[in-house]
Amino acid sequence: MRRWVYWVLVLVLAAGLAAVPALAQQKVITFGFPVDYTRVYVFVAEEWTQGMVDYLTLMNLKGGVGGYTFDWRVVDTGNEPQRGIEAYERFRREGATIFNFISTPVSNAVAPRAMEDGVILLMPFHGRSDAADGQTFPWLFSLGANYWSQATVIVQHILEAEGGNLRGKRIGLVHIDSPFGREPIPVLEELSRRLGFEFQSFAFPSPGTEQSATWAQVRRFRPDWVLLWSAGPSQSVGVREAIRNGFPLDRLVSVIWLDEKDMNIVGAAQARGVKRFEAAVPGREHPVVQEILQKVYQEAGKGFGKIENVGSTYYVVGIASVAPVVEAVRIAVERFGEPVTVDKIRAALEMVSNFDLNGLMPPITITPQDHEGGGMGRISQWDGSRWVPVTDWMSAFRDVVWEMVYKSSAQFRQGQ
Amino acid sequence: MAAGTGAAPATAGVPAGDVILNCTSLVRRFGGLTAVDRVSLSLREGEILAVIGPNGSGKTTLINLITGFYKPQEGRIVFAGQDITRLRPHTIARLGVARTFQNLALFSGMSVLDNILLGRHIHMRSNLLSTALYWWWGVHEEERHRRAVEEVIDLLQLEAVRHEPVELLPIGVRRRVELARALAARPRLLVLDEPMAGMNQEEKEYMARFILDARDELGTSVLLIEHHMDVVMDISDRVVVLNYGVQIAEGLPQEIMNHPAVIAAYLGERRFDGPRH
Amino acid sequence: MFYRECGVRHTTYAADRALAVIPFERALLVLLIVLAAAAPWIVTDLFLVSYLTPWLIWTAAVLGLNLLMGWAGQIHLGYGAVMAVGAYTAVHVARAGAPFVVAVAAGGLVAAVIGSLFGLPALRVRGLYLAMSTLALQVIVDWILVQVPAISGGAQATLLVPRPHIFGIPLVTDQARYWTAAVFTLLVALFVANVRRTDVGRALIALREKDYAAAVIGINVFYYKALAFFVSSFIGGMSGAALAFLYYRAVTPEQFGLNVSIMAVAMVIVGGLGSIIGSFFGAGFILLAPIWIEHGLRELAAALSVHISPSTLAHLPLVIYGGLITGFLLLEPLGLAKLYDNVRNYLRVWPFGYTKK
Repeated sequence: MRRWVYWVLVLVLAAGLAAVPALAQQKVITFGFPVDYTRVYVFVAEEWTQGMVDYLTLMNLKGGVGGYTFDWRVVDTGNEPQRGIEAYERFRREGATIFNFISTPVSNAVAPRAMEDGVILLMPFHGRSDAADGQTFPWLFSLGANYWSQATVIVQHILEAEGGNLRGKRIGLVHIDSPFGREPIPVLEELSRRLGFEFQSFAFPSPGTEQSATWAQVRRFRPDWVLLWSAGPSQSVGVREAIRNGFPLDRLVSVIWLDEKDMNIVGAAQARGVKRFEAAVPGREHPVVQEILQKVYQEAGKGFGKIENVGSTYYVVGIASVAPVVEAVRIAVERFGEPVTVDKIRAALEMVSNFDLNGLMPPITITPQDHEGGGMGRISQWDGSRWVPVTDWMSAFRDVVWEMVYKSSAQFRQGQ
Repeated sequence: MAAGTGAAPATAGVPAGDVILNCTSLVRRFGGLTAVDRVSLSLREGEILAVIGPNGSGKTTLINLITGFYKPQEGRIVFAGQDITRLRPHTIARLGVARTFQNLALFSGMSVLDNILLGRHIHMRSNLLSTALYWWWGVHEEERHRRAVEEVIDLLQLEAVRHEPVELLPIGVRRRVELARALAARPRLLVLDEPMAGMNQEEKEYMARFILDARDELGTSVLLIEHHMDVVMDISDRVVVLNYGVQIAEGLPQEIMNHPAVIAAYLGERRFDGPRH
Repeated sequence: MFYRECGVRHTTYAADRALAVIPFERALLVLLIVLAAAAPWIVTDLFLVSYLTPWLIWTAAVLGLNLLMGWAGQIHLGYGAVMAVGAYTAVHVARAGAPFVVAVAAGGLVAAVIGSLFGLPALRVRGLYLAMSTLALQVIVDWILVQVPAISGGAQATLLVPRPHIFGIPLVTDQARYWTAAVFTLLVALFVANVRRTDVGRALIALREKDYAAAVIGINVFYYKALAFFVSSFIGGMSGAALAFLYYRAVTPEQFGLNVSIMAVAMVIVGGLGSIIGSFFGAGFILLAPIWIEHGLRELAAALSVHISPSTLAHLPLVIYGGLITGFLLLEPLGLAKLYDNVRNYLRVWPFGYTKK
């Protein structure tokens, strides 16, 4: 019995040691997706990764891009920087040149290495918000509205909804007590100075499953609008608290991390009216999603995960976070010729212009200065069964966002 | 009457040393119970003083007062001219008082050697720096004390078990190790709390011999708590008898044996064969 | 067998006190040190960067915690916080312009002072109460790191670690970082081994075993408990700084959170309380087993062409890993060090098994 245990251990460890890195094949671009399947980002990791991988599979099934096909490595990091670094070092040696960790702590921990090693690090909707500054972070790409941009887009929506005047209005921010939760505060403070609304922030302690005390304070503030700034299980708790406190849900606007799962937890019908920032079009109507369903799932049977996930909010975010890279590979082949190297992909990423994947995502234009791509998004509203857009793709108050970006990236340069 | 193994110090009378320990009317109460009630005693250098008494007579409380575990509510303890009444146990140990425990207090997980080396603790001038600079500094200190410990090992015949973990040893040997640890400190006063508890006749005789050796060769004064009266009568110079915390007799072993109050205290038991349970 | 002691006679106290008493073990030790020094030429740089370097630094940290938990017998649930204090202090000191060695020492010192402060309750309480007090340290440090951008490095809570130099030589290559980590861990291990065989170490174990008996032989229990916290926090702080400089290269609060503290405790227990070699085993097992189990499963699944969903593949190693820890502790509650010891004892007397101690 005891021997049996030893043998299993020895076998498993030996198999792990024997894992010889696959030789880099010809004309393959390899992605590394060491993501957090098991700890903090559980709520998003599965669908997001599935979206990324399915899109890459679709590209492969269609014969690749410019003669190049895509490969990927996926592993769990448990949101631990140590395991993220291990996976990064391993995948990099197996030929991976483009990474997405879907985890702020792991991304931030790996960033200095990626910049030293010349590896592209994608940080859409996580990681360093100041990665928008392409001059300071040539190897980091936000590829989507960072949290500061999301705050400005939400305020822009409020401004329009209030008829262009926010003077004397009250806007509250209910956020998780973490660096992520506090990130929009300086932007909102600046906007309150500019637009004349009254702003107050209300923090609830992590993990945010208990927010009643915070919402009691919110009620005393009597806000006209409330911004919800958290992620994961605490989001549905926040919506429920808003309902309990009688707050009108069409004046509750969430950061990007609110999806149909959260709505179902609250109760799909009760949650009607809740708004959120949106960075890609959910649902199965879009031609790209249709194509994935048909070619990847039905014909090839190569879907990376459960078919039910296809088209979910975070699934399309996954598509939106690799599609610009695929586009960059196309540009690289076209403009720089073969062989496509990571340097060429990086340079080509900075040439991606007005790319919106046929309307699946807001148009992004990446330049050597701007790795965020314009910071666009829209507001959508839960109608009881699905998310309905209430605005067009838009961006706003870019000067405020860039001021934040440059202030933060300057701090980073100090330490270099 | 078997403990005598040749030398008969018991009949030698009071040795002519200076007074090393002087307790004056010590009182210690626990709630309503007075465990030690105005006990006074003094001990001279090189003397073996036995404190006897039935169970619960306050013997162990008395030595807990002397070694600093309890503070007396009244009275004074002077050791080697210094008032130690309010000092903490480790400070009292530094002044030269060593003791053993009735229930043994060896450090398991350590070898016999390490246990006895710990007895040298108060003499060691070692600290973190000497440890960090072990090869230049710490090693010399360690070896110097190892030498001293080997003398004690020799005296108590523990050579064979030197490297054994203490928890694997039989109780008789463990008592010897604990005595060795106490002696390694080269104390001026050795306090032994029932060192023969749980031993057979032969082991008791050995232990008696070791106590006499310690006194004779190292010049240690000994305060001995026992209720095996047979051994006590043979090796002690003077005897103090406690009953219910009160000192009921003091004198030479011969006088004590015939003291009516002592006989009364041990009522119902045959004279001096020791109480049976 | 190899560990044969026949004919080995010690004629001096020095020989009897040697770190490795058995000739074979001495040779093994020398061989291991030579192998460690030559590692950059033996193993792939992936192995060097991702496994050896963090494993060695974590071992140093575990040695520090083992000194406190294994010898002094004081539980500590905030060791990650101690490492955080060391790392953040060292990085800030280095950013202010101090050399690497000074920065690491400063990190150790500040961590030692703060760690000792939170060890003060140990003078009065023990067990669960001490666990609570050290847990408080963790919570407070976590909170400060999250709340004070000046310490944690701005809104992004990431602080870039300056490039370390040793005597003017920049440590840029993976090899240089590895060697620095190896020397650091060797020094810590030697120090801890020396603590064990001198008076300080004996005193620590004494107060773990029976504090009243320790007092009666002249050990100042308060002083030595405080000393244990000081030394262990000093080592922990330096290890945290070493992790930041030689491995992470950027510090974030998550690198030293509560889960890290618990991981450190697991390393001590799985490796073996109070064992130096066990600290190496424990750190290695806890750090690397989950990764290697995942590799193993992946390869196994690929070899048998079984499709496992990525989410299952992510959770399965955790189950196996948890099972292994439980299994090991059931098999040998004294940890991996005891397993090694069993083998060693077997070989020492082989083939005369009946003389086994």
